[in-house]
Amino acid sequence: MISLFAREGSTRGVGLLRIGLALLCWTRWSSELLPFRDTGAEHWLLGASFFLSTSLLLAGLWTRAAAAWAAATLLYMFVGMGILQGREAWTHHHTTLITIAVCLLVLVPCGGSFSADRWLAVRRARRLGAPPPDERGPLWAVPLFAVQVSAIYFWGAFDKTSWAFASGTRMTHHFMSLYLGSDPVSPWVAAAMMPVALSVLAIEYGLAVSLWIPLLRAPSIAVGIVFHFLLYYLLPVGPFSLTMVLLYLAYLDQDRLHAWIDDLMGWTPAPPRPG
Amino acid sequence: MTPRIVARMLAFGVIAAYMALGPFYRQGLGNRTWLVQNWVMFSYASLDVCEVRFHLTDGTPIDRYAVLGIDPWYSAKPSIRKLGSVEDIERQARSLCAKLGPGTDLRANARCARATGWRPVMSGEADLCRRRRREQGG
Repeated sequence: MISLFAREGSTRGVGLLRIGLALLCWTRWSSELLPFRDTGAEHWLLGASFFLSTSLLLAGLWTRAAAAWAAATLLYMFVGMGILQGREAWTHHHTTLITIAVCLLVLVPCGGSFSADRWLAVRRARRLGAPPPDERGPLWAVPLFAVQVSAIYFWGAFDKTSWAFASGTRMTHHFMSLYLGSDPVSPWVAAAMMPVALSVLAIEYGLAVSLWIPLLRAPSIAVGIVFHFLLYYLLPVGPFSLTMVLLYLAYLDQDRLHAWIDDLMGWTPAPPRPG
Repeated sequence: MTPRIVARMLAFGVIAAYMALGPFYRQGLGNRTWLVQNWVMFSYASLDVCEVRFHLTDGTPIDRYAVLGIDPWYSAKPSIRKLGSVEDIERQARSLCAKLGPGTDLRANARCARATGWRPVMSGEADLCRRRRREQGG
């Protein structure tokens, strides 16, 4: 257990998290923060802070500082404008999750791979005639991303644990509101809603736990990807489903992920250093 | 254990507890605060729809899309396809009454979506065309 807080591991997984989260920030907020949306100084300053910090985060330049800057910007948007100024759309669960995940990036070496910082470090080493630095760093905080995902699955399922949901009634409401309209649903649709609802509950409660179990991880990720794809395709969930799938990276053995990327790219791993 | 390791362990414990157990304060105990998250998603979505059966007094069902000349049904505008309130139902009833002709006695059984299930709002007891006839002096 203590080794979790002492050891280092590959930074490729958190590098991918960094890139994905920066792009998800743009997906959710960039349109609203463009300068022509509002001519007020606060809007322009906020937009500049958002775009500069997330651009540096995406590129992986001065990454730790960029992550902290982006996290501070998103926290201001969530608390300062969302909660305190009543901009309700910025307090929804999908914006909350992205904000939390970007804050967690501050605690991980997310600039160690797939980043401008990495490129500069490699160039520096080459100039000195030294081997490139290892893509490794302290990963003690990576499981926190996974804790957040599991908490969402559990408490999301807890919220749905009611007869109104389990009976399929709420699922019927969603499909009537989004697709079918007000005519009474056909008997076969009504009958199908209860097993669909129970499946949703089983998947959410199940994934909260199964993603932590190595033997069940691969099938759980497959189930989760299909589940979130269906939610993204059928319901107005916004970037929430994409964020959840991205954060599955945190459940993986980071060194095995590193090796898999090597294999995927056809790279020959460097020989182990003596000592 | 170095101070750095201890600091990491403490930070991890506090953050993990906040994320995993914090929602219990809101979702388990029913408190309201923005300081902890609640993962209530879609519990209050799709509450803008009612299920409506239009029919005559003898129980003959009325296909509202056929009466309104909409084919296929999914080509109907959302404001026609989805009725979200008693007002919406009455508005559509007026359109149906106009199409069905004078003397029609149109009824509706309807229930509207709630977070806890369905809430009945109409039980087929009122002639929905009577109000239109009153408005027209009939």
